[in-house]
Amino acid sequence: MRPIISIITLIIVLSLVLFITSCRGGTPQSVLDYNFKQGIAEVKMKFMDNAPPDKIYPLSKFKIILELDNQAAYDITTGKVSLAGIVGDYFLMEETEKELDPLQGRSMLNPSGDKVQVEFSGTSGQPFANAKEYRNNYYLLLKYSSKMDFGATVCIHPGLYDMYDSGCKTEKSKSFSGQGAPLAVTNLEQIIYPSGVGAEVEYRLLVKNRGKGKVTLVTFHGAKLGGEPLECEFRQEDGTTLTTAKFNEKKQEAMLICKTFLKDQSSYLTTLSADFSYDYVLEEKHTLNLVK
Amino acid sequence: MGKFGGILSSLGKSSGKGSTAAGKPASSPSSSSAASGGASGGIGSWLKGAGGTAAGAVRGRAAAAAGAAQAAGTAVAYEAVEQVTGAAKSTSFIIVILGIVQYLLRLWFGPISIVYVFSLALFVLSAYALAAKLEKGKAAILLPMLIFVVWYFIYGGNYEPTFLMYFVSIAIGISLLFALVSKGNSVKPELYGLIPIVFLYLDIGLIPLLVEKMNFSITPLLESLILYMPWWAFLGVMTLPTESSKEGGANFLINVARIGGIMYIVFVLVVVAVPDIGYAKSQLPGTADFEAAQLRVKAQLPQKENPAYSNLMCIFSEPTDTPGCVERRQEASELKYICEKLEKKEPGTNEYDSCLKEQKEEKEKEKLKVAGASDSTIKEPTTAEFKFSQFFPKLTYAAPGENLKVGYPTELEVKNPRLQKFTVQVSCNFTSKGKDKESFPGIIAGGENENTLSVNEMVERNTFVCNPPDGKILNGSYELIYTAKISNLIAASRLGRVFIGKKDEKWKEEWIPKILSAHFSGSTYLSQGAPDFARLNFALGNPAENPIVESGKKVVITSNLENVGGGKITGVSSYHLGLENYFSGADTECIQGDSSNVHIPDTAKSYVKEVIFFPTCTVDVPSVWETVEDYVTAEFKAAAQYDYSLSKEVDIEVKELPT
Repeated sequence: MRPIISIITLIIVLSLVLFITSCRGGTPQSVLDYNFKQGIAEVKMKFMDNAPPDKIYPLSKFKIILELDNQAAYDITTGKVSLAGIVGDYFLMEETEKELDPLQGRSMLNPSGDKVQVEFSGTSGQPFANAKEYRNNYYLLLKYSSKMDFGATVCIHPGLYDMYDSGCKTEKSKSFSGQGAPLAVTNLEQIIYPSGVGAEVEYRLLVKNRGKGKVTLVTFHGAKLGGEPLECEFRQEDGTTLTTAKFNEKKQEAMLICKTFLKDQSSYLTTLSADFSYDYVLEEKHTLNLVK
Repeated sequence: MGKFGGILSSLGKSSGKGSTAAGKPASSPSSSSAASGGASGGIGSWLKGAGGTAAGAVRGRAAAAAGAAQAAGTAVAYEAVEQVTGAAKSTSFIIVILGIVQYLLRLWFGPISIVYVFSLALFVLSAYALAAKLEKGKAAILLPMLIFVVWYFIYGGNYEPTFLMYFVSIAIGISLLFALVSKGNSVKPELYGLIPIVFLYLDIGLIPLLVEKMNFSITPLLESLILYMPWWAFLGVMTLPTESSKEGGANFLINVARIGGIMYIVFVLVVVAVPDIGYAKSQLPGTADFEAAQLRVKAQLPQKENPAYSNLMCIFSEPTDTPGCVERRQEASELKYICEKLEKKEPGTNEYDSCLKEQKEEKEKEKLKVAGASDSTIKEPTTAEFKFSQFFPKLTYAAPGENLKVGYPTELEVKNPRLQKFTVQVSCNFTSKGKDKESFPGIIAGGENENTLSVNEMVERNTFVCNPPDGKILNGSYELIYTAKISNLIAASRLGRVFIGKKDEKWKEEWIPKILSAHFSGSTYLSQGAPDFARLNFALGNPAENPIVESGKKVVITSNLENVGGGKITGVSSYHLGLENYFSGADTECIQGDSSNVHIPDTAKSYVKEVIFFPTCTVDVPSVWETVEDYVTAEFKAAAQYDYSLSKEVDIEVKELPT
């Protein structure tokens, strides 16, 4: 009895803690103030009810209707939905691939993001011989391209040896929870080397996939420190550097290295920004059931 | 449960009392009879006296030695008896012995009822053995066993979801009640109670049934488990106490049993991979089905040397290549059995060598054949079965010289769920069991037209009566064999394949495991055929059994018709693989053919599974699948038309009435 009572008590306490910590106080935030470019968000996929049905009968028509809801803070520019692995003898689909129109992300003007329904029509066949059923596993693949903007306030202190600088304090490393996309800059490192009359500054941005799908390619489009452009490149495994980074199954992150030279001056706060675009694939496994 | 309670209360006490000291030694040897006489008579007499004394001393020592030896022998015998009786008091040890006996009985006599009774008795005994390992709530070990018995024997193993919902809920409720009343002490015993259930099924043939119903491939490991694992003895070994008695009385024997059992298991299970398991829903058959399945699977497996013995011999003879040595010994013993016992060839003769060579060639051929699997979605295969009523005249009496007019009826039941159209021709044959083995065909009553059954419906039944030929008087014991020759059966199969076009290594590394998991779990990468009498196996790919087809490589197409029933394939009239729409460059013979492309092996001399090979060829990947964005799944169908022969033997006896 005692162990059971202890477990029940623990569950109740954990539930209470979870409930309490999830409540938020304060006045609700208006859309105008809300920063959509934070956290991790992406396109959500779900099937409409009964499309496809749990059981499909032989020689009948059926539909697969997918609702795509763009919860990211950026628009999807090019996208495609495809069905891979459906056996035509049992489920003959009119199309297995559909191109997507641009889908707007969440913003001040469109706080809930765009939703769209993608429909695939098909006709079922017959199970083999006198089989009573046939189960066909297949993959639903959503491939799209989108972008992500990173911005952070950093303290620049070229005069490292100034003991009486009452400006800002430099931070060697900073973590971020995301920029409203599945691809996120999760960590920023700042390294300053005194050099002559100034300092060489190196920023290392860790770009990582935090979404449920997979990033296949990330392209760097430009970075600025204050108003000045920064030279940045992705460091590759073989030591070379490029403005694109290929992600694979095992490695879903890359390091962007940015360097600049700053003249000797007092410390100050400024903005570091970087723009990226990426290709993304979201895959889900589903099943079609043909029953007699 | 009162009776159990009384018995259970005695569980947990150490089994086997400590032995007493080994028997009392023999009484001290009688002291040497001192020679009488003192020093009288001078030296001579002294010598005489001394000699007498010495002789007496020698006699005394001999007597003492004999007595000591006798005492030692008695002590050893007494110790041995103590060991055995002490060990016998361990339930686990009894299970080991009875498990071995039960296993041997099954091996020699098949699934007779006494074997089944043994299994049930061991099922109950194992509860005692396991309960000995528990400290509290021992009686609760019987609860899951009791629930299982009620479900299996009273409710017939009903697995209907609605029934299970109620039954399982009630079972869980009762278990929880026990757990509450016993303050949690019954949980562990209840879990222990599941062990005898698992072993009961393992013993009566779950593995062979999985082979037949779920298509386990018979790997060497599975073969060893089917033929050489006495499961109850195994359970007994595992539950042997670490210390049978505090005084160490029966420890030696029990430890020997444990070590021997573990060594046996290790040798039997050495060096093989577990087959890829693909579970699907299946019906729960009765114990008779299990036993029958075990016999059928064992019948499929040729008689070979015990793998434990092979292992032992190979460890000494070829320590650097033990697995290879074991495989060669197993193969050699199998061929030896076929040629010596079945073909009855004298070892050392040219005929014997020729037989070995022929069988070896058949084995090599079998290794190269493409495999297939039974389609698990087809629950109702085509079957034909001879049935005998309780009124079948197994034993009849006739006056001397009387021409018995009783016929021997059998009902042939054909199940045809796919509504095929075929005919069945029935015949019968008598073979006497006496010294002069006389064999003659019987006559199906009604003439030539009455011995044929045309099958068009889902179920067809007909009774055929077999009579001895005119003028033939039956007297003695006979083996009556009914034969059904089935013509124009269709074996249909399907094969799934995935075409990936040209992809880089990274894509393949990421996607091939996903594709295999989603589309080819278990044995579904093989062709799936209806589990009828024969199954058409076919494959395409590079290698043929690889379900992932890449562009740029030639694809191998291969096929065969495999006998998976209990009879014989007597002819193949045609075969057709539905590939011509995709693989236009393939040789015609490879895709389709008739009896002219087919060689039916002489099954009388072949002891491997009967397999009829069709031509093999290579082709290019169809252009439509040369380049694909992700991957494309396709399923191909194939069919073969064949003739089949089924037989059923029944023993009859005609006794002569005394004059």
